[in-house]
Amino acid sequence: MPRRLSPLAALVAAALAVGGAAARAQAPAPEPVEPPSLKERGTAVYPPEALARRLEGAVGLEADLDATGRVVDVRVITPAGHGFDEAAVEVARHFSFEPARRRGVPVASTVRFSYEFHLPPPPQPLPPALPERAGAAPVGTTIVLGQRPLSAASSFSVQDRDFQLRPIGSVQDILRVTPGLVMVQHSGGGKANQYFLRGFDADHGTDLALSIDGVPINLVSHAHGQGFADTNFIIPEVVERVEITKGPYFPSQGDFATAGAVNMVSREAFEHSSVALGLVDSPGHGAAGYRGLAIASPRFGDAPISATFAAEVGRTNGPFDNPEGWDRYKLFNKLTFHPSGASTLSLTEMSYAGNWHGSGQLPARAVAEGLVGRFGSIDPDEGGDTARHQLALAYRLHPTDTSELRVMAYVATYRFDLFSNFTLFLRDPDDGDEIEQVDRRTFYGGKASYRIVHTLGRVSFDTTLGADARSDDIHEELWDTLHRERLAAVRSSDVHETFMGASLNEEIAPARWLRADVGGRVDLLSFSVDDRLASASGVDAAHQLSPKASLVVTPLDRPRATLDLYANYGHGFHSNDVRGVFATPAVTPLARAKGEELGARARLFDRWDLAAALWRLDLASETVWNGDDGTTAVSDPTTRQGIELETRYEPTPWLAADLELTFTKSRFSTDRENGGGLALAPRQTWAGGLSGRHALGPGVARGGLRFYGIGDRPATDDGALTAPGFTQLDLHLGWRHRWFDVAFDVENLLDGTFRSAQFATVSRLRTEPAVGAPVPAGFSCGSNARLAPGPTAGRFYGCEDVDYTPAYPLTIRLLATLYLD
Amino acid sequence: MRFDTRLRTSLVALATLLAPLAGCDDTPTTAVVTNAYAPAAATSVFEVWWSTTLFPRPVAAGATSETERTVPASDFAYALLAPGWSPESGGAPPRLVAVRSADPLSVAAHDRLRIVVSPDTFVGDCATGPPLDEDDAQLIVERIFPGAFAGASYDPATCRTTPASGDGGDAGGPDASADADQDGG
Repeated sequence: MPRRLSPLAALVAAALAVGGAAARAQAPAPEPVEPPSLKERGTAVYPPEALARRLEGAVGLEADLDATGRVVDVRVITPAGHGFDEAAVEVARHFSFEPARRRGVPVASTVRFSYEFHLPPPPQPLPPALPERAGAAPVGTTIVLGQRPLSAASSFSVQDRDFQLRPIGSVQDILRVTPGLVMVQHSGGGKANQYFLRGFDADHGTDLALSIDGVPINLVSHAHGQGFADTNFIIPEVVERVEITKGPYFPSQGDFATAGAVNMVSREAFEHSSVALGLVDSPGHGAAGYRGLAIASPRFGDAPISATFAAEVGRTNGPFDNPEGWDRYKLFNKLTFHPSGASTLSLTEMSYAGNWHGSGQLPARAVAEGLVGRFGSIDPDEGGDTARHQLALAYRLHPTDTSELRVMAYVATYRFDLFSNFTLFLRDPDDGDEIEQVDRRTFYGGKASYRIVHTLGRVSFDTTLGADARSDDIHEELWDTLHRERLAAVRSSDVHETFMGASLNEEIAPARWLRADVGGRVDLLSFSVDDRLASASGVDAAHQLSPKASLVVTPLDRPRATLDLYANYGHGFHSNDVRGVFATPAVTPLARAKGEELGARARLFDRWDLAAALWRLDLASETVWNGDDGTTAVSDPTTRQGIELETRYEPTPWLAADLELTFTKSRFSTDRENGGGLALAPRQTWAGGLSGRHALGPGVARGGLRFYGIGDRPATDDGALTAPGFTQLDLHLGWRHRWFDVAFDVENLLDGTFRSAQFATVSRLRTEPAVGAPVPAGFSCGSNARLAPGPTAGRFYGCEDVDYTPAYPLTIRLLATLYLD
Repeated sequence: MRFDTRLRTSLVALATLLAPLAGCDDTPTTAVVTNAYAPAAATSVFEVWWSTTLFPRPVAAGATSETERTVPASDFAYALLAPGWSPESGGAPPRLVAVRSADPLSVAAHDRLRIVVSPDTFVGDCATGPPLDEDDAQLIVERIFPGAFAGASYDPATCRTTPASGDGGDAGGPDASADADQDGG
């Protein structure tokens, strides 16, 4: 009779290959797939022979799961011999899983994991059990849970366990899990970040659609810039998963999803209620800040309801000579009700308010001349205040095992006051060019989709019909100001903007190795502008039909080697600021994007992932920076072509290394002799690092050493000025105990002095020649800057210089969390 | 570990974490202008510019301006004096005199810079001390406060402003600059 060992004696590691599982679902999916998670497991019988010989082993297994999560087949992909293989297969047949889900609908999938056999450990204190969640390994296992899916097919989902291996101080840090997405902070913490993706310097989000739980974050016709996407209202800890797509290939996505789209999914509940306190400081620069966080996740017995309440307060000063003083509060409240096993109803409320002083963008020449320090400010009155409050109601129903209905509605209010000074003393040499941008809006909308999966012979069909709508009621103002006091109104408009869209996606899978997606969406935009100060008012509408198609082929599907090939084609769009439709020259309301992509994704030896994508994106017009009033305008058509490479390698079960490289060529579609390329379009980006998780003492330690960067890029269309690139190295260390967690981050570990957000801007320092005056002999705007052209040669019309926000120097962040239950 | 013990331990830990904050000063650096001319002199400070900060409101003799936010720097301060004019009197000053601080003024982070404008601390007021040299006068007139002297020329030796047409007499002042303020963008 074989001897049964206790779970502690025979330590079992069921290491779910989270991303890999999703990636190798039966039909490789370009739609985000929620991977399966382990629900119940058994304990294997330790092979008598191995036990007698004091042998240990690990068996690599691959299991096919049906749509209910039941194991229908198990194969050994990494044998261990000595009876381990048979024992592992036998126990794995009785595992049960929460099934993988695609857009919420359970789907069949294939999952890989290793089953480890360990002899009874020598007598020593065992670590206390960590809170266990479905799919997580028991305490003491030494595995890397955060395996990141690959993106060659432009679509994947990243779980929160991946975030935990990185420095996380804000939602922006979470978004960095997106391969190829580089973000930099911009004039202090209160403003939206600058996003670089697929050759776009998506100024605050113009070509990157961001959302949380489906509620759009981008704001149309925003006072500061089209598509302004400020994620500061989100408490990072509430983000459970990030769904990422790149390119305009997905019918469910509309406005701004040209370079890509990121949807953050919030948690339904936390395992524990907790309180946390954090400190952030840049030694030798500025002043320290703090962050406090409280999370309550009460239980309601057997009631089919869950609730989460989270609140954050904080103050951040940054390294600046002009302390940022970014005071803020954030709230997250979510109630989820499960009326039946087939339906879910959730209500989510989020609130945020903050105010801050920004240090603006410094002209490089002002720093070089010693007028201000690197962390100085030329207009210390910059900054602002903002608030966002939103309410979302979501309902999900599975009428049958093969269908799903999703409905959601949201309403939000938003307030924004921003004081900036981009051109300094160019327009007004006496009072300066400080401006105030005001945005007040209420926006509301909803989405609905119905999905049904059916088969015809051996061909399966997965049909999704969707509809969405959104309305924004906006009041915007632009003022000339001095010391934040209004001098003169420049613009004042009331804007109403309504989007309506409908989409269809038909997924056809004639064989396990082949799948096609065909579909598209139609969008209708209607809008009105009431210009209170000028005559640029009117009512208009626009529409666009966007076809989309994808083909996925899996030519190689072996236990130790898989290969998926992808081809994608699709149209998409970003809207332009509709105030420009009635301006002179007028802009088109919708800018069409056309994307094409070929990709490949491989997994070798069950530990090495490789991905590559070759893509092209044509855009009918570009939003370009206008420094005079801090807004954007539209340009000629553009073309971007690029290559993305990704790899991830796991040298040991607890350690992973990854590397991402992107190369992009961006240009105007028509030859206007602008050989330098598009201003600020990134040419190369890179990111990567080492990350791992390992049992340590009575808890689990985690760590990550990561870098990211961007290469030199043209600051102007003609390439005459350069925005220098950078590489930043970050360190994360953390240790989780049953009752507390400590996280220690060091950003910019090497204390590099580089630039964050950059713009080529024509400006005038107060001590520079008056506009229109003769340029004095010997006067220079400095290196990497030039005299701005004007109507009369030899006269001064400002300096076109690269203005920048300095990157944070070495910055330490500490967060201590106490779990209360 | 019992909950209250954990809580006590945690509060101690949090207090330890908070301790460094007590030593953190995030008070912004600021600056004010004090008009130290004797009230009897009836000389107002019409405008002041220091480093990156403009004081746009006139300061009467003996008064102090509003506090403005600034950043640490070391630089000369430049000012326009309005002899014989008071902010309360309304209208434009009849005459403006360009002056510069005798020495660079400095302020450290989190401190307040007090810019004291007086015959002892500023040069260029022909009535009380040596005149400005031509370069400083040109900097003030053409770049620092161009609006105040638009369409006029300023003689630092006499502290007199004459219209560019050369018809003699005092000119300049805020009224003369009104049309030039928004030019040049």
